[in-house]
Amino acid sequence: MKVGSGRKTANSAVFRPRRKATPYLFILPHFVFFAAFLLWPFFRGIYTSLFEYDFLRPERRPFVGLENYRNLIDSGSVQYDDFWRSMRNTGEFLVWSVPPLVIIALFLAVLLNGRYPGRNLFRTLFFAPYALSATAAAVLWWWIFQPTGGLLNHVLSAIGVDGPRWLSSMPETWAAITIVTVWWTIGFNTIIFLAALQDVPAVLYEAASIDGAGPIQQFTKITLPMLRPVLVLVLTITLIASANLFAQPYIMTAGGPLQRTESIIYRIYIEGIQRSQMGSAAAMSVVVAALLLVLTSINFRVFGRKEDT
Amino acid sequence: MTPHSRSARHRRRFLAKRSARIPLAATLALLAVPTAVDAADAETTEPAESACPAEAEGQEIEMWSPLTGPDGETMTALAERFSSENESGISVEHVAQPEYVQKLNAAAAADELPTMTVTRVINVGELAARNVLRPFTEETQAILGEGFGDDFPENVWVRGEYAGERYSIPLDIHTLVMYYNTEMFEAAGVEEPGTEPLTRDAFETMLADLAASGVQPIAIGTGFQAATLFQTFIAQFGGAVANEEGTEATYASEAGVQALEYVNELKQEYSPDISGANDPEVAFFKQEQAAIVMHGPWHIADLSQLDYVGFAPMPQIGDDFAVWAGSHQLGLTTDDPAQQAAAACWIKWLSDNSVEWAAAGQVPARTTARESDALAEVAAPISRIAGVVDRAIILPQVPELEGALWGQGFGPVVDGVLMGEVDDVAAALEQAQAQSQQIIDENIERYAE
Repeated sequence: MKVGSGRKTANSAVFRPRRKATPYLFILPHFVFFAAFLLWPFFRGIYTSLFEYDFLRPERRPFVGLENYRNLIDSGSVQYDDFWRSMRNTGEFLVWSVPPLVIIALFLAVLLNGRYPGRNLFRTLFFAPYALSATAAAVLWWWIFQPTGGLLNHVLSAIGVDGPRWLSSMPETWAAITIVTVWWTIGFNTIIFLAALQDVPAVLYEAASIDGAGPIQQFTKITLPMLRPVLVLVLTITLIASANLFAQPYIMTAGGPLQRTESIIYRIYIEGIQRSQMGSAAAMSVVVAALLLVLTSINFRVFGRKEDT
Repeated sequence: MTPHSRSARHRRRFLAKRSARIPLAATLALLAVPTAVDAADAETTEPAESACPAEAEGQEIEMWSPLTGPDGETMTALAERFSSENESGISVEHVAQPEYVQKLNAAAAADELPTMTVTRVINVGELAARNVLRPFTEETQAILGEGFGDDFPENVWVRGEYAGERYSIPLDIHTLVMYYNTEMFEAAGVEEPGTEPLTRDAFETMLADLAASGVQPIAIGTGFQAATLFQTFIAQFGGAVANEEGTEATYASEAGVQALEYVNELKQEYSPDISGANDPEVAFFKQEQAAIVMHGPWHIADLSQLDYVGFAPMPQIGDDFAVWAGSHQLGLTTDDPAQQAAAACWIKWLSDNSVEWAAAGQVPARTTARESDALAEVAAPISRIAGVVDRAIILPQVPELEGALWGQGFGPVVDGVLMGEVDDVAAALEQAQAQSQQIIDENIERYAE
């Protein structure tokens, strides 16, 4: 996968109008789906957020303007505590999950890029969990993390360690959720890194080893700089994916202990689907989307800087 | 009433003391539901009851439910039996839906609702207010028959009403059950509880004796179990989580503090340190790491397969007996009169035969079914706890009341206290109650027509 590869100058085309239409035609199939499943819901969400909105009660759907947003910053509102608690929780999860998801994936990609027998088997093995549904992954690990009778603590006790209550004490619960998430989704990031690694010209490594650079120097001086654009992409995707945390706490902890793993998406789900407050939930979603946009742009500015030089 | 329920393997060891008939029946009920159904059928089906109107003939009914466990299979078996036996040619298809409220909501939005649904009693008001459930018309109520409601305990029958109309018919009542480990009881020399609630003294002596014998007496976790224990004891201590109209949160009372402190004392003194989602306390009990667990009756089907499990009603700790309960109810989700009529015929049949529903681990709501001799044959454990359902507490029918009181109210406080993170119980309940009240007020405004 390449990012920012649009720098090549196109061959001068004979028909100007056709040249203009071609890129749009290429984009069109994706755009149709993008518009139907992202663009339209996005604007619809903004519209919904201005109402007290219960989709089964069209007879009562008062326009409330920005009140749903005001509730999020009014400490006396019903939503305030839950919203900001779940925002903090999600922030905590980002800190827990993003570094391993990026660093371990990069490390795995480098390993899987080597030449050795069984390489394809390992590539498949590391990617395989990604094919599972979130529910399957979460239920599987819920069993493994059971404090009594769970596989992990059973193994730990065999080596004389008294395992913690993985799913009901802090910060072990974040560790548990992070482990599930890394196990489940690491394959995706790894594949992206792997594809990028295969694009790094082998001559660079050959030249470096002739100049006497060791593996570590080769990694820091060649691999990392060459991967920079992809690194930004992976970081962005991972931040957004982690901010969308839902199924793991929903299934493994029900948001516990004491609502400390109740992520923002979980809270939006409770607000919109369980409490039927679609307007308020939509307002929360808009705020989260705006924050993610800010986060993404900071990310591109800080890490993507050198791409243009 | 049966003295004890045990499976066949255990019986061999205790044959001298026990009647052989009961474990056999329990095993039958669990392993061969259709057989038990047939046996019970002979005693319960009344002759000549074809009040089913002509318009219901040949109707195909789709019924949704939240019954995704083994109870769903029992329901499907009953639906199939009705379909093959009824004289009007009505056929019933039972579809168990995980997250059934959301499925119903989505189906309502898409105008693709089934004919009817099994609903949890706490959802009836909300589903009615949000145009998912349809009221029972005079015609459908006529099919059920004159005085149909008289055969239900008042506390559960009235919960099928919302805004002055009947929206659902109770099928069962599920009260908390006290499960106990008969082997641990025997080893500790503790007498097994009977079918009447234990007194506070007897209960606490029992715990102390169990502790003295070197076992963990009781498994108390957090979440659902802790919250339902709190609701049970607050009622026993003379309080309530809400007023009878469901318009005021009232759990930050003296009884509330007393109840929460009592649950906490039990946990700190007699329970291993358990917490977390998905009922780990039941797993503890199953692994024989605690002698008692108090939980919903839906574990009966699973736990009666273990040799060492006994069943008893909850103890009486306060001045009055009360116990938290839920209830499955049957509601209509179509306006079509022929479909409604056919659904009413099926509801009547199911209700009349609801003693067989006990095989699913539920206490039938119909008084005649609970008092029927067949109950002990279908499900011996159910017959041991069926005597207390008229003292079950079920919240008033106000939309989203449970969420306001529990999930966004006392639930987090109960967990916080049990996990040692709340010191001032009264203040924490007070604060949670204020939030509950705020949500209740908002809900009342939202659902005011």
